[in-house]
Amino acid sequence: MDMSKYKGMFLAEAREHLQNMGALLLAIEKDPGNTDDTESLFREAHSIKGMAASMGYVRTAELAHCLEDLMSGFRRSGTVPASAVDRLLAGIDLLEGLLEDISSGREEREIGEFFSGQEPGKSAPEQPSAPSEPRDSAEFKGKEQDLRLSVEFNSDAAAPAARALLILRELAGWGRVFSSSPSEEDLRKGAISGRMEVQLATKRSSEDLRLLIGSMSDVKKVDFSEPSSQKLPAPPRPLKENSRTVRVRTALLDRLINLTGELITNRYMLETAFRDDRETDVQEGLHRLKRLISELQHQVLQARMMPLESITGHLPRLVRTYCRKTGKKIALRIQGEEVELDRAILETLSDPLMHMVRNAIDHGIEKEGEVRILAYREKDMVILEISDDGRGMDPATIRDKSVEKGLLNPEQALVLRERDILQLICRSGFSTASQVTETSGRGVGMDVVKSSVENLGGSLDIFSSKNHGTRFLLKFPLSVAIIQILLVECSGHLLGIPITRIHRTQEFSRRQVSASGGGLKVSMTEIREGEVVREKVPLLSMRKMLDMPPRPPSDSISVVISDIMGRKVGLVVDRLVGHREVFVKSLAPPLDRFGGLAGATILGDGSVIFIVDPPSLLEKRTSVSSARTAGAA
Amino acid sequence: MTTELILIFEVGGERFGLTVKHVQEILESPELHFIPRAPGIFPGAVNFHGHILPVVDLAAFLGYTPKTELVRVVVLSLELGALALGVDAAGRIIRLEEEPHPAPYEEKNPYVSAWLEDEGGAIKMIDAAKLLADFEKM
Amino acid sequence: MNPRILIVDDALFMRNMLKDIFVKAGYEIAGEAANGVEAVEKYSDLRPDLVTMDIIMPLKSGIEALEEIMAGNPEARVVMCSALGQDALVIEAVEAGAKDFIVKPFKEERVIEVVRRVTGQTAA
Repeated sequence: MDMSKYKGMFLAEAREHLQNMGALLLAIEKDPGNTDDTESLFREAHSIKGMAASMGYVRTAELAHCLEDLMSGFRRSGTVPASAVDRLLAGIDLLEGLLEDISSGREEREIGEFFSGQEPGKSAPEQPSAPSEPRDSAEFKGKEQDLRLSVEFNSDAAAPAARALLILRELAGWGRVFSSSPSEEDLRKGAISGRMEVQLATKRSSEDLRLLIGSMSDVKKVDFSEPSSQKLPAPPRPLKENSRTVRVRTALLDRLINLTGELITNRYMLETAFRDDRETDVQEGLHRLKRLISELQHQVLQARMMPLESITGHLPRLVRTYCRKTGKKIALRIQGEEVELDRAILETLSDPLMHMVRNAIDHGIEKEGEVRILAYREKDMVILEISDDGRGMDPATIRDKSVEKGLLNPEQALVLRERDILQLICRSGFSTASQVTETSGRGVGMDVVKSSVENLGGSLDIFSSKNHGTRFLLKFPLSVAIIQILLVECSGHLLGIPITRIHRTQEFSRRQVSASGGGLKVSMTEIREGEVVREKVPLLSMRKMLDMPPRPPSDSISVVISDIMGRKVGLVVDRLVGHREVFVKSLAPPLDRFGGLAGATILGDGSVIFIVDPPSLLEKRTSVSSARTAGAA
Repeated sequence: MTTELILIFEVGGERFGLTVKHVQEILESPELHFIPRAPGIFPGAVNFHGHILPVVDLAAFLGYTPKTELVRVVVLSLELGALALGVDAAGRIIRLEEEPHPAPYEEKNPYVSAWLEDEGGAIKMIDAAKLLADFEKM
Repeated sequence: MNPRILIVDDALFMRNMLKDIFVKAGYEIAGEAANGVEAVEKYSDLRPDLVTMDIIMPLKSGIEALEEIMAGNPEARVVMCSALGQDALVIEAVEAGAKDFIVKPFKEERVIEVVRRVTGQTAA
């Protein structure tokens, strides 16, 4: 049985188990006697062992078995000694390395060192999967020559990854393929961007190959070069391997399957209509097709969303390891890990994020302190803050250093604002001093961070002052993010309100509404931390806020309770329609000038729903009169 | 210059022209979606291939009596900006035979950059870039 | 000798279109099938030189039919017909042994190009 097709699945699952093991170990370190965690850890190791063994990855299985054994001992003793945690962590690191090897098709690395009880040395910096060196040259026979071939596809090529796989297969019939970029494994997942490079040994002439490959559809160009010491360009490496695969919620998968079904039905309908020459039916079918495709697009984009957690998950480990090494005491606090972002953004963010955390603990915090990562949404942006309470940066020092390094002339330096001065640490020349000092150290890699953020259409701001910590503020457009909204109806129109802005929703009867202090209020009862809390909440009419005609009186009102500037406010709407998970588009001018709009989304039926941001809806109104309450309520 | 194509459309009983290279598409009675808090000259937004574009009622904007129903919507080139113009009628495209002449002094509309003449009278050429620039500044 | 082709597609319209293209190019139509089950049966009856196989069909999908045909004759030349955006299915088909694929809407010269290549009529 060919197991290679299970490799991707194996890697994805094994990595998940590993991540769980890492998290469990940290928990065990804090609470060594927690037998549940010990038990879970044992099971995770056991799972990896089983999977690796059935895939034939001997060393991975052996190492997992060893960890499992260790755990089973602690399971009996009921506690995990502190000394063992390090060894287990080292084991997890080694397992990670093994998975890396498997992933890039290398031989599994040596694990003997681990068994001899030594902690393996510093893990080597990750290498982009190097092309397999032409092996033992004695293997090459006769006129066989090494070739490096690059194939360029038409920009509108259909199924280019499938085409590339076909080419690899053809080439395999003509010689021996050593490596390709993208790799065969990546191609099976559909990953390719316009070109492929292949390294092979063949007896055929390059002209033969050119004819063979060139006769295929969608092949634009075939080029050859002698294999030199030059390496194949590393494929764009995903920052975190496991973001290559996403877990798709079954509900989403079901929606996709349903959509496929609808598309097939629609296709039959179109074909019949076309054959019978019924033009209106063809029109209708095309219209439906359009709608189905945009729905499909919408759903597929949702499958790309992953929580921030997928790139912050390993940071606690990173910080912990660092603290052990340096004796610094650093706490890492992460908030907003549930914020979902497009995979592409997460992949781009992963390295910069790690970099900023590293910089903060290396150069920001001297002995003891806190590094904080905070993610949240604001209007149509996702904000990511990385801050520390360390020694901060002194703008004056940065300015002087920049002049000294020739990044600025003294005149320029004089007119720069403080904010812009801090940005200077992102200039590539800033941190290249022979000795990295506290100040220049903060600039390490920041040029890369800044450009990655800007490439995403975002911005990077830096706030810092001497002895008052440093805060990096990254903003990204929400255009590739999904949010949950509540759909409400007002005067026959639908609007979206971000769930994050909503405290709760409730229907009130007219009797529950009372007039007080010039406005209308409802009294709301809720249980907070086991206590019954009653409070009066002022009502605001959404219709009024949107300059719509007042609503005829009715027996009950639908209210969205929102937190506005730290105060609860009830927004009266005509009807609560329901929750939706939507892909938010940011607004271009002039739409973004109207105020109060956080974005828009297109629903499955093609209709456009604008998403309002309650606090900014109120901004203008509050300045006029803070108590323009709901007369219509 | 002679190859330039001009889209003719009507607003408030007058004829206007727009260079075709500034036009993405002409929509027939598209579905308009409510824009909360939009000024009155914006009767709604259209979903144009996933682009959400506000539609400006050109009649209202230029000071003519606004129509209750927008029959045609001219989507401006997406490279130019995100805006669609609601007009009374549109569709005819003419080939520019001669250089349009500058708008006469009495032309008060700041968005009319030039005039064309044909047997039907004047065609006022709209400067779409200026129009967009002003909307973006709103 | 001109290759004999079995056309598999559930849509009559598509079959006719392909047939026209092939006949015009001087190929012989060995037969037609409207679903995967029929495709497998007709393949073993007719032994065509080439099969054009639609991916999505009722009763038995093109990929299943491809797999069965390949199991019976590893040398079988099957060209898949897909729609745009079915990349994952096409990859699956290639892995199952499809010799090439063409994408709808069909361009006549593309179709001929692929048939020539797969049936070994190119110089290479």
